[in-house]
Amino acid sequence: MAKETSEALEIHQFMNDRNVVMSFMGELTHQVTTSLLKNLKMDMSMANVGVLTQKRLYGIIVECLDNISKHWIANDIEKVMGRASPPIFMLSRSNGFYYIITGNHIPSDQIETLIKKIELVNSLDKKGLQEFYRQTLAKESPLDRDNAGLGIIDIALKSGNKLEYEFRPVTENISFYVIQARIQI
Amino acid sequence: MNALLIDPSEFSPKVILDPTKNLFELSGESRPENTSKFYIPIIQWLEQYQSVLYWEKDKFGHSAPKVFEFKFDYFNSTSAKFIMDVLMQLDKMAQEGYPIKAKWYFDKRDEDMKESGEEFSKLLKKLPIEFIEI
Repeated sequence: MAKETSEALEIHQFMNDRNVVMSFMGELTHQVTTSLLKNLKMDMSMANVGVLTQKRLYGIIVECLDNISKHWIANDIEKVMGRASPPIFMLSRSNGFYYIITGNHIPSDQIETLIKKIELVNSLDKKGLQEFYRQTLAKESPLDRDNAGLGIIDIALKSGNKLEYEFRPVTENISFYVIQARIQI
Repeated sequence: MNALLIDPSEFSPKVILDPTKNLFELSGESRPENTSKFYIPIIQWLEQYQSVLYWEKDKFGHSAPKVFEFKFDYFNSTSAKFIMDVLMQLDKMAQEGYPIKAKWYFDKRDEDMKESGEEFSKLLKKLPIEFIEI
């Protein structure tokens, strides 16, 4: 068996063992996102998930994928690493939860701001998050529109659980950023 | 004033802003590829419409009641900011004394959609919002 085919089997086995229901690695264009979401809608209605959970999961995934496409620094990555290294999205289901994981490269100087944002939403309860959502909605100027602000609050609100994250330095200036949200089924 | 009509897609809402038929509606899913490109014409239309209302009131001494209906299945956080702008625009008209109200529809199984509407309404000064369960 060729090395590549046995590796593919291993990757499949690895994902299967971790109950991955959907995964994607590649450029997350709006078209790709739409197609992933379409599949997700079909999967969820088949998996007997309640309507509110379906809507929340859908919303979390949209925000996670939007975040990647907004912050993805494809050209910089290729320059620094000498090859393309696209983002990854994974959805798994186990122990009564859906896990939504995304990973992508970011400039390391964004880490501090991101940690602050995530830690802040993790420190708030539902009421606090709603208040923060309202404040952000009211103050955000049109120029800030594409910055992740509301998105992360929305993910936290819909998830109802703390967000997990990790940064792994790749080069001096670039890190790989993984964020995980989970939602009870 | 011409109507602004936009057909819905898998990721953008249906828009009906039709003064002749007195129909005003945003419905469906909202996560357009380019959110500002989608919403700015709507907001500009509403800005223009305010002067039509002024003219109507000036000519007839009153302005007919208008109801703006919001029937979203889903909107992403980027759309939320623009929906807020749409509501702010309507709120401005309400503050000017025009008889305008909004109806916010939500699936009875989707408490989040209701809560989003309530969050919006807390940021408005005058526009009445009626919440309707479907």
